[in-house]
Amino acid sequence: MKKLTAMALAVMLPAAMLAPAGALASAEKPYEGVKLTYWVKLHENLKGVTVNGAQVENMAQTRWYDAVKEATGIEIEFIHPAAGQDGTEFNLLTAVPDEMPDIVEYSWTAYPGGASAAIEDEVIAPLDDAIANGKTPNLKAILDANVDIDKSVKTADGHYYVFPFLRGTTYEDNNCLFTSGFYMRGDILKELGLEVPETVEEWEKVLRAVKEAHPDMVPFVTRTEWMNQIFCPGFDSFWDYYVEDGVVKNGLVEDSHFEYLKTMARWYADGLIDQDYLTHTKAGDGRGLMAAGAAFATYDACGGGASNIIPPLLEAGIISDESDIVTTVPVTSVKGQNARYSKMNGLYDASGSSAAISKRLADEGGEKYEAALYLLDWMYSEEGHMINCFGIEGESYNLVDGYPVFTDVVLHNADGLNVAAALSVYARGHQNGPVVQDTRVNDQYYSYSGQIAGMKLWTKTDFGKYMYPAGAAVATENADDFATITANVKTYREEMEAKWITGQAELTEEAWKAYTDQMETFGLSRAISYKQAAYDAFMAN
Amino acid sequence: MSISAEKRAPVPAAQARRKPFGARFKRDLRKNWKLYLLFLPILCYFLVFKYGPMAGLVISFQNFKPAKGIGGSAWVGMKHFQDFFRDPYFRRLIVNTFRIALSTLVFSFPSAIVLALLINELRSKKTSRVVQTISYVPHFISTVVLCGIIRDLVSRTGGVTMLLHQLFGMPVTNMLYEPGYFVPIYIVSDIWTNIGWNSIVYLSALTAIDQELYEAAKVDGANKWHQIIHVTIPCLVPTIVIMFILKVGKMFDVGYEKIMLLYTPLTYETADVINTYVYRRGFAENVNYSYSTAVGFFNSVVCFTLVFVTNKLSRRLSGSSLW
Repeated sequence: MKKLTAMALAVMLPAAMLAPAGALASAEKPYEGVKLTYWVKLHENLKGVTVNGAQVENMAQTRWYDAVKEATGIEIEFIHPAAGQDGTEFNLLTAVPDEMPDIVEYSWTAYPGGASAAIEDEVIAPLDDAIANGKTPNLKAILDANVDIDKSVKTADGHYYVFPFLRGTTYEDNNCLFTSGFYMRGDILKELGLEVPETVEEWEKVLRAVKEAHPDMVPFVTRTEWMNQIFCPGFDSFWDYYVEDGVVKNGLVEDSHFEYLKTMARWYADGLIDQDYLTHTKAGDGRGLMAAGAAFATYDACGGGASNIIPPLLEAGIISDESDIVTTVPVTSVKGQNARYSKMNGLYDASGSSAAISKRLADEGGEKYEAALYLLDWMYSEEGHMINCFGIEGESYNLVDGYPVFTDVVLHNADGLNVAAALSVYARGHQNGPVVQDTRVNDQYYSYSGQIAGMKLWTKTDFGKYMYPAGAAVATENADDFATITANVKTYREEMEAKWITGQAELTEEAWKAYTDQMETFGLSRAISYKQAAYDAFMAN
Repeated sequence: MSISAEKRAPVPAAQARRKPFGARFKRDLRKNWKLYLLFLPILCYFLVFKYGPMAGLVISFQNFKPAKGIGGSAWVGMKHFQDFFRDPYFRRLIVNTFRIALSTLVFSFPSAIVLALLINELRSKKTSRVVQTISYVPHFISTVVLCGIIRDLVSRTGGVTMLLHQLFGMPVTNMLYEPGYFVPIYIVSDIWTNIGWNSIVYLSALTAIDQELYEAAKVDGANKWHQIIHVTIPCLVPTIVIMFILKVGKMFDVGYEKIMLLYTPLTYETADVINTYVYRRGFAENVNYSYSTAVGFFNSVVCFTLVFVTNKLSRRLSGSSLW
């Protein structure tokens, strides 16, 4: 205990000494005192967190904002939608474009009709001129250095519109792209004398052995829609659109998918996968089995999974050490090789919120508009990057040989906050927003050995090469037809796959033929051609 | 009773020569202005919250976008309706919706009446109060929690599954995976949740029945059963008819939240109803306000027709009706 206090003091002292020095260093604040309004969802991580004795209800209360204000001199008035109402309140915002806040953070690709529609509707301003005229040097440097990202952050017709949420800048060894993975009981593997499985055959062998040795155990459990996404890669099969050598394909009707379904049906019949998996529709469903020691392996969120599984297992004495929960690579078809596909996020994670400048502000122009561009571009500068990802030097992290190491304020918070909550007081890179994520955050963020190993193992995939770019949106004139086809395909696919896997219908060559024919009748190849056209237009930009 | 009946009787006498509506209304307004004043807030409520929003139906003929508003969105005519009618799943959705709605009418609806009759026959006031309270408690459980309970009960290891297995030798499966079980599960759980709550209105109607009728029946030699058949039920008919018509009006509103929480792709063939499909189609992935509004509009038209027909029929057959 004494040691901890001493360490905390050691951390605090340099902080107190450094603060004024830091203030002097960043003298260049061209927009000092400018006030901007900023619409953004208050992240769940901040729920119930107190700063200086007050509940955080506005991002202006966080240390992160203090640092941003200190560095840029710009004052931000944050406007948060009521929890759970962000979609509705966003629609209300867009209904009155003349009163839009200066900066709005949203998942812009989810805007009805895509991001280009948001520009067309005069909700947000295109950034083409600003970026071309060098108003955003930091963002431009990133885009110039990474052609793929540059393409993906544009609208289908080639306009810049966003200060993007980027999960790093490369698909190679980038743990920021992965937020979930396999967890399994290493103690049982040891007891059975088995290795951690990597291929489908190995998985089957391990699950069978577990079923034999522990008949009461559920060998594998996860939520419904993940079952597809995690085992398909083992058959070099994909569950959706992907790109191979510039040709757009849909893995759903390929023969490899037939093999996948046959195997899953066999596993289900033999009790190797949870017999109730179709009712596990939400994150965390089925987690209870794992936490109670009633399941051998699962696929779950990196943070939420481990922290809900490991403590109860330890408490109940089912495992003796947290390192008994181990992880493995994405299921691959050839042992030792990277999996061709995997469940992973794109570099430009369109599902996270990215910042855009309202059309209203751009039309007004002037100092406020310039300040908004400056502020958002600053987020991608070296200084902004460190504050976004690590927070305040000397307070939330220390530089050790040039490597930012989180302090105990983040890792072992005295108020009992978990890492996600403690860090969100100082930074927001681990959540979303206009930032580039940093692998060095994830390297320290997790504490269980399974998670730490996962941060290395889960990246063993080449999916980056085949990923369909998020920015390539189907053309407006085809969007309706595409939506109809997608809805029909999805309903039919969910229904048939569930029937085949659970054995309610037998998966024969004829049934598969009828299935693919039906997909054709729904217009799947038409949908693929729309996707292809969108991809070609996207690549040409 | 007989006295009040006499009082009511002579009212509709002097209506031979009717003045025009405007004149009558003016006179009535002057005479009963206090009552009209009391009615005014209700009128405003209906105009603002019920009739006003109907104008929004216009978006079902547009490609509505919040940013462009009702005035600025593109007009597409009947396109969304045609899309819905041409949908490959249209038939199945209609059939499923009707199947669940009719089953509710046939099974859940009468169950509340039966419960009310049974509670009415209880001698002890205390017991009847306890029974009532217990029977309507499930109504207050949130749908999400309720469906969680149902899912556990009928899962592979659930209590209901085990019970049915022990009693009838039913195979041990997750009952929610069997298309054939979905409607029964839905209906039984629906009865369980709503029977107590729905019976309240009948119980209050029962207390209004004149005790003299029972006494007269007893004098005529009627036993308990006869009393129920010849006194209680005939007195309940007006309430039943009105509740029935209201229920028909909400027929397409089959509890889709509950269905959504209970169905799996395996049971789409019996469980996928219009509302759940529209949710998946119009809200879950690409938000399409116009399409959803078009389907909602279609639902309303069908329900209105049904209410209208039921009302007509009931007026002709039983003499009691909603209007």
